Amino acid sequence: MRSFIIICFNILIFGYSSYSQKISFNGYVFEQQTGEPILNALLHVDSSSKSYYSNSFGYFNFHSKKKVEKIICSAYGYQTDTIKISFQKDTTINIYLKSLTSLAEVVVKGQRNYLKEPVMGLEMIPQEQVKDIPAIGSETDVIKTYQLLPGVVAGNEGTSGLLVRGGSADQTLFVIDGVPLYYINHLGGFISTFNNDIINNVRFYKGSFPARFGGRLSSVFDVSMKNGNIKKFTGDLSFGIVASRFYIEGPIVKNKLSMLFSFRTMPVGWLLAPISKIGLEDVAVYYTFFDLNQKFTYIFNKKNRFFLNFYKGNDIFHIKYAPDDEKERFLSVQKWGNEFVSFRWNHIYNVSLFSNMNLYYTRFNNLFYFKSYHNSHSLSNYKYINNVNVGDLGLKYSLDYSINNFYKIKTGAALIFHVFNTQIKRYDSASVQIDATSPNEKINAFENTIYLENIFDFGFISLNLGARESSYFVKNVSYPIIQPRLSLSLNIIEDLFLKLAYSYNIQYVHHLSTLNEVDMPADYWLPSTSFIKPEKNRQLAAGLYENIGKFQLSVESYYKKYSDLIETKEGRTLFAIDYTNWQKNIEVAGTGYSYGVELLLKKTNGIFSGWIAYTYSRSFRLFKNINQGHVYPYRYDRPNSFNIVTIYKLNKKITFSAVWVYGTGYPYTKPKAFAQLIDNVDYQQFSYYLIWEPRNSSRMSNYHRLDLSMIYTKKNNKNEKVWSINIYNVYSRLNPYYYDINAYYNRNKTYSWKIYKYVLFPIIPSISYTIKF
Amino acid sequence: MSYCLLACYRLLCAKKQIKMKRFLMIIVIFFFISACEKIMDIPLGHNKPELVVNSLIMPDSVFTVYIGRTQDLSQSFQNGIKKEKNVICSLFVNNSFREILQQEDNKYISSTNLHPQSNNLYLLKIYDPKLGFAQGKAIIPEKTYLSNVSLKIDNYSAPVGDFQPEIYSTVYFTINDNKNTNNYYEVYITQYTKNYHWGVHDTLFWEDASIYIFTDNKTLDAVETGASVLFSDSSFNGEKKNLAFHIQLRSNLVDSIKYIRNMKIHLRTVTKEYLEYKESLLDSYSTVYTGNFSPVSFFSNIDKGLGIFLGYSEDVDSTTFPLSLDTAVFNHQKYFK
Repeated sequence: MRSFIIICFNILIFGYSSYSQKISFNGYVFEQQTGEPILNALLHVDSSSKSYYSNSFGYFNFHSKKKVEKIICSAYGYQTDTIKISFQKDTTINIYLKSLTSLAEVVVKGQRNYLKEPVMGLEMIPQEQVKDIPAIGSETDVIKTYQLLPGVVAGNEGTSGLLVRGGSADQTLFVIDGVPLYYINHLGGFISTFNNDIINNVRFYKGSFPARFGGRLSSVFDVSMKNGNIKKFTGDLSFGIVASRFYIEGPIVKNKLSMLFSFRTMPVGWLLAPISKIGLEDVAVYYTFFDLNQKFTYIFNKKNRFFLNFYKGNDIFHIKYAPDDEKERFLSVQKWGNEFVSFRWNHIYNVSLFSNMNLYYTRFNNLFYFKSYHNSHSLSNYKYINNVNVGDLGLKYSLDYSINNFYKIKTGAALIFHVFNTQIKRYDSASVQIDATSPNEKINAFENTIYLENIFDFGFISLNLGARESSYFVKNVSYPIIQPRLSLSLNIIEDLFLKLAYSYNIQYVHHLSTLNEVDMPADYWLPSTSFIKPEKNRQLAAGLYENIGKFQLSVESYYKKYSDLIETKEGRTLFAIDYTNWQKNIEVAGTGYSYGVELLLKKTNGIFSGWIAYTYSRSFRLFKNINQGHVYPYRYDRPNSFNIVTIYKLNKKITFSAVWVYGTGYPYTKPKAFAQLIDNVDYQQFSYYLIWEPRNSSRMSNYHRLDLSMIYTKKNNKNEKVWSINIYNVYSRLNPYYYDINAYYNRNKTYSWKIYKYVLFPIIPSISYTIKF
Repeated sequence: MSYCLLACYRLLCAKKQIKMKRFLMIIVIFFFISACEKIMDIPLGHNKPELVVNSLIMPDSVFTVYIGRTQDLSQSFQNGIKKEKNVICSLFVNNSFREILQQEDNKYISSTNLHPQSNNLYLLKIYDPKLGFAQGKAIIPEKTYLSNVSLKIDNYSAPVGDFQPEIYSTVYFTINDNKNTNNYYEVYITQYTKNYHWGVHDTLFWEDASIYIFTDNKTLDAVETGASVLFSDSSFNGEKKNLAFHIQLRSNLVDSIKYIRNMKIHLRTVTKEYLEYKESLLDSYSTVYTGNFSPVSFFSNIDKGLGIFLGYSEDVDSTTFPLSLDTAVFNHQKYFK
C-alpha cells in the first residue's frame, strides 16, 4: 500500500509540474429544449484533434494553449454543434445541443474516442434506441434491452436480472443517481423498477469497472435520472396491460428550480379482486405494483447545483378470505420493495476541480403479514409477521480533478452504515408472542471506502490506474481490503484499439435465494460476518475494437476467478431447519471460475440500427459439501448465446423493431433413481431416498424466440400520441421457465416420478398507448 | 377459465349492460394474466441400476449386510424394493479373507456368528452377476463411556383441545473423551413406558421408544435429526465433558405420564462418515415426497455402488423417571409447578 501511495504521489507531482501556461475551459453540455444535461457528449477540439467527454452530470473540462478554439460538440440523438471561442483566461461556458428530429444519421466527430476510453466492457445504448425496443406487454424496459448484449444472461425467462459473465444476479450493482438499489424487480421480475420515463442515461460496466465503483463482483448498472425540464412543463400519460404511467416534469422557477414526478402502476392487478371474488367464492385476491419517483433540481449558481431525490416502489400481493357467516377468515398481505431518498450537491471549485456529494438512505423491505381467525378454534387465532429488510445510510464524496489534458484524477470516499434486520414473529389473539424460536436478529455493519483513479491519455495509449480500499466492520470483525484496478487502451492502427484490464473486486453483501425458480422476495440479503467472508473475484480481460464505417465491431474475452462464494446447503433453505442459527444452512468458502468470448457488431443510429451479439461462455462453482466436492456448472451457465436486434425507422411516424434471441438451455439436476437406505439401525428401518445425477449435469431445452414490435407516433401542435404494438415470442416457442421434479400418484395408487417443464410465455400480443404533452 | 369468463360476462351484462367491446378487453386482460402457464412432461430416461449396500456394524452384534439395488424412477416404489439375491458377499478382516456371508431372508449375515470388534478394518467385496462388483471399508471406533446421568423436568404445557401435552426435560451426563483421536458422537434417548392401556382395546407398548432430542449448546455445532443429536469433540478434545440435552417426553395423554419408568441414554461413538451420512439423510428427507428442495448428494463410502458400510460403538446408561408407579394419583399441576 505504501509503495502504491508513493507511486500515485509521484505521478501527481509529475502531472502537476506540466500544468502551467495553459488556459482551462469548462462547462456543461445541455439539451437545448429541456435543459437536461447530456452525459457522455463528445467535445472534439479541432486544433489538437483531441476529444473529451462530459461526465455523468454533463460536466466537462479541458486545457488549451491556444486562445481561439474551434470545438465540435456531438452526442448520439443530438444535432452536432460547432462553437468557436476566443478566450484570454480560464473560461466557463455551457453548450446546448438540439435534439435530433430528422432520420438522418449523426456524424459524431472523433467517434473513435469512445473506443479510446480506458474502460473495458462499458456499454451505453442511447435511450432513443431503448424506447424503440419494447419488451413483454409493450412496456419499454431498460434492463430487458441490456439483457440483449453479449456476456449478459437474463436468468429465467422474462426476469429482470443482469447476470454478467458467469456471475450471479446479486453481483450486479444497480445504482440510480448514485444510490444503490437492492431489489429491481416488479411482477416477479417481468418488469424492472426503472421507469423508462425518468431515465436520462445508463452506463453499464460489464467488465472491469473503475475504482469509483465497488461493492459488487461482476458489473455496475449506473442509471442517471433526468433532472426535470428547466424551461417548460412536459409529460406523458400511458396505458398498457402491464403498466400504466403518469409523468410530468417542468420548472417551478424557470431556469432555476425544476421538478420531476412519475407514477407507474398496474391497474389490471386491482381488477383482480372483484373478478377473483366471483370465481373463488369469498376470496379476494389482487396483485399490483407501483413506482413513485420525484426529483427536484436547484441551480443555485454556476458553481453549485443541488438535487433532492425520492423513490418508493412496492409490489403488493393481497389475499382475503371473509365469508358472510364470519366463522373463520384470514388475511394475507405481502409487500416488498425499495425506497430511497438522496440529497446531492455538485460543486465546481475551479475550472479543473469538480465535486459531488451524495447523502442517501436506501432500503429494501419485505413484509409478510398473515392473520387468521376461527370463532371456535382458539389455536387458529393468530397473526404471523415476517419482516426482512436491508438498509444503507451512506455519505459519498467524489472529486474529478483535471490536472492537464494528459492526466486526470478521480478520487473519493464513502461512509456507509448497513442494517440487516430479520424479524419473524407469531402472536396469539391477545398479541402475545407465542413462538420463541423465531429469529429476531438485527445486524449492523459499517463500511468505509476511499478510491483513487489516475487517468492518463498519451495519444496512442490511455490508462486508468486505480485502487479502492474498503473496510467493513461487523460484530467485532473487520475486513480491510485493497482492490487494485487497471485498464489500458492502446491504439494499434487508425481505428483499431486493443484494451486490457485487470480488476480485483469485493462484495460484502450476499444474496441467497430460497426458491430455485423465481426471483421472489423470499430471497434474503445477508451481511458478511465472522463466518461468511466477503466474496471476491479477480478478472482479467482483453479486447479488440474497431470502427468499420458506420459499424462498430468488438471482440472481448475474459477470465474470472471467484473465492469465498456462498450457497445454500444442499437440501436446505435459509430458515427451514434451524431458525435460530441460520448460518448453519449456508455453505461457505466456495470458489469458481468463468471465461468467455464476446462478439458485438453494432450500428447505433440512422434509419437502420441495431446489433448482433454472440457469446461463448462457461461458468463453474466448487463447494466442499456440494456435489460431493466436485466442480459443477453454475446454475445460469449458458455456453452459447446469440442475439439479433434490429430497428428500422420507416418514416417519422413508424418504427419497426425485431429481436431474435437464442441461448443454450440452462443446466439443472435430474434425479436418476431412488434407493432404500437405512435411517434407523435400532429398528432396522429403511426409507426411500432420491438419488440425483451430478449437480447441473442435464440441460433444459434450448431457448429461442422472436419479438416484433411497431411504434406509431402521431404528432400535432399540442401533443404526441404513441401506439406501441408488440408480439412477444411470435412463433410461440415453448421455452422452459423452470423444470420441476415431483412425484405423482398414479392410477395404480402408487407414486411415480416426473419432470415437469413449466412454460410461461407462449405468443403474447400486447398494446400500449401513450400521450405526450 | 371459460366458465369463469362466461359467468363474468353474464353478470356484468345483466348488471351494467356492458358492451361486447368492453368485454373483449376483459378477455384480453384475463388471457394475459392466466393463460400463460403450460406444463409439459419431460421423459426421465432410464439409468443402469447400481448396487445399494446398507451395513452399520457395532461390537456385540452379528455381522449383517443388506444389499439392494437402485430402482428406476419411472417405476412405483410403493411395493418396496426387493433385496438382491444370488450375491456373493465376501468379508475381509484386517486384509485377510474371513468368510462369505450367508443370505438369510432379506439380508446377508455371518455364518460364523462373527461379532465385529473396535479398531479392526473390515472390507466387504460384493459381486452381483448382473450389476458387477462393489466394495466398502469400515472401522469401528473405540467406545466412549458416559457417566453421571441425571434428568430434570423443565417445563410442562397443559394440553389444549386434542393436542398432546408437551413435557420438556433435560438430560445431563458426562463423557470421557479420548484425547488421541478426533471423536464423533451421536446421542439418542429412549423412553421406557410400562404397559399403558389406552381405552378398552388399544394397548401402548412403548418399550424403549426413541424420543425427540435437541440442544441449545452452540459450541457443539451439533446436527439435530430429531431422533438424535450428532456432534464432534472439536470444542472439548480430550476433556471430561459435562453435557446437557433437552428432550420432549412421549405421552399422548396426560394420564400416560405416570407409566413412564426410565430413560435410556445411548452414547454412540461414530465416525465422521457416519455423521455426514446422517446429515445427508436429514437434508434429503423432504425431497422424497416433495421434490421441491435442491438436490442432495448422498454420502456413500461404497465404491462402484451406493450406500454405507460404517461402524460405531455404543455405551448405554439409564435414569429412573422421577415419578414412581406407586404415586398412583397423578397430579400434574402440583408436580410440574
